[in-house]
Amino acid sequence: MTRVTNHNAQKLFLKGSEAIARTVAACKPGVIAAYPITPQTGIIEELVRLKTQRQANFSFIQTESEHSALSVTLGAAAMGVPAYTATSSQGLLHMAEVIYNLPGLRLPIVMTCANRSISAPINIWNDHQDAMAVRDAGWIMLWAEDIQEAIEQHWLAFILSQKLRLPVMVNVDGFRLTHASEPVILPSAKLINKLLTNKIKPVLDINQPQTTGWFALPEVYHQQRLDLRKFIATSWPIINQTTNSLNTLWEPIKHTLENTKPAIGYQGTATHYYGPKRPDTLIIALGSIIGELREIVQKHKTANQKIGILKIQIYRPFPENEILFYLNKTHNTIVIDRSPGLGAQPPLFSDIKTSLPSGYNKKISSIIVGLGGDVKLTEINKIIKNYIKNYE
Amino acid sequence: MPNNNLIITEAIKIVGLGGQGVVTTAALLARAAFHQGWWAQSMPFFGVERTGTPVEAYVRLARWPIHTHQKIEHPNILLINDYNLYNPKKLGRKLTIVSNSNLNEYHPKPQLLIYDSQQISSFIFNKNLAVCLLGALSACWPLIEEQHWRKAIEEQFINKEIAQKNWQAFIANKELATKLIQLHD
Repeated sequence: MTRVTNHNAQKLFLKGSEAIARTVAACKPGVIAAYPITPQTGIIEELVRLKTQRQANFSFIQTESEHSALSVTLGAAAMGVPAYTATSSQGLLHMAEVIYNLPGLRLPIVMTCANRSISAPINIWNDHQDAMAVRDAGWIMLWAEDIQEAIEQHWLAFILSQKLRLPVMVNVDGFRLTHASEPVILPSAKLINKLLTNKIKPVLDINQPQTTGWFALPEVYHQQRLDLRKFIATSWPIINQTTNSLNTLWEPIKHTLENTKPAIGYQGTATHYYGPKRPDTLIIALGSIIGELREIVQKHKTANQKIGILKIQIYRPFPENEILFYLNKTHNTIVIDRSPGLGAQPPLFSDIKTSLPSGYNKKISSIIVGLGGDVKLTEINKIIKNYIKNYE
Repeated sequence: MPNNNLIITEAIKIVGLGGQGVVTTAALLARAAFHQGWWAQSMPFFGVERTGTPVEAYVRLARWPIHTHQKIEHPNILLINDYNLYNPKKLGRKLTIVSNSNLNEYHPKPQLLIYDSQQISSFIFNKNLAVCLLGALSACWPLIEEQHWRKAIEEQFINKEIAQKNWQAFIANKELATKLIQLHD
């Protein structure tokens, strides 16, 4: 058994935003730029508190808008400095132009998106419409179920962004996770930096002024975009190796400190499966709603119904092979989206549908749940029961 | 008091008005439970964020990790810091504590305590704060040991003077609530 000392990790009672901020500070970014928006504000407030108390050392730039905040981090990354920002909802949409620039320029930054609905009408609570609006911009997108997972994914995000030279967005459900306080195991800065080099090859140099991401004629542009597409689609070996090395280092430390066994279920690179070996019904979802689904599975277990849950932790690149493996084990799949997909199918459902092989004839249904924040266990349970009943 | 004698998942709801420290009170309660050795979760549900509008916060306590993050609609324990928000038809399943400056009432089953927390709160803080109800909670539901309450208060409020004031308010409310319950017995 690994002996856990305080310099590796600490068990604390922390608010989600504080836990994220402390993890980010421990990853030692050189530049943080942000503009406040609910429910992201707590993360930046805590980061600034850590800086003013000299517990963290980064340049903090409060910009006049989210567009500028992401532009500042872009500049920092171009100079080879690890950079971080956080936003939500309208803020993310305001960043849209720069969001597309970063992967095109192959610049690594980490951003937290405290997921919140988008206008109109105005709503401050949680769903996934903001992140889904920019899901195909070339970012690596991670999705956290709880505060503990958010901590681990921020650590992973810094490593992945630097290894792949791509921006990484960690999606954390606004209010439900950012404003909730829970016991967490926080890795120490020393442990975090065992896997994190923070070395980024700069593309700009103030002594030799030049530009980057300059004008490209159609042939060149077309090829560059296709190359980027191919690179992201074939990045799985690197992602796999990174998650493995992080888990090998972190899991024993975490579980010894928490005095628990590893989570029940099967952990893949991009997904986590929880439930029986061959489920009658498989539910696929993203984010903190998985918590409510776990309770449903526990209830149905006693009612002798076999329900499994597939949590998608890495949403982009899309882990279609891992998902297909589970789709083949069940007869009935329910995909839960927290985004409506206006004018088309909901995003997650659409992604899964398009990755099905020809001839796949098992039932797959879509549910849209909790737009604008209200996730009710009883209602989800009722919908799922109805689907199962109709299927039977 | 025996340690760790929490059997079920305890769902607690705290309601009050914006500015009364409802969210802080929930965090403080969850923190005390965390020090007791339980798994604890606290989370707020804001209305439109303005001083004086109703605010709700939820606390879940259990001896195992809690996965859900949804609102608590039917709490086991309900703490109400403003009498206007009190609805006698919507009580906590086993315990309700209500602050009212003009009324003292106690019913044992399900437990309902209506008492004046505002006098102590005004004396110590110069305003009506929800944190006072935690003292009464500790009197009615003594599962969390006093040392853990104290540790939670000291952690929550880094300023020592403020922490001391909160501790005083906690103890004073606990004593007052204990007396009221004893009077009924």
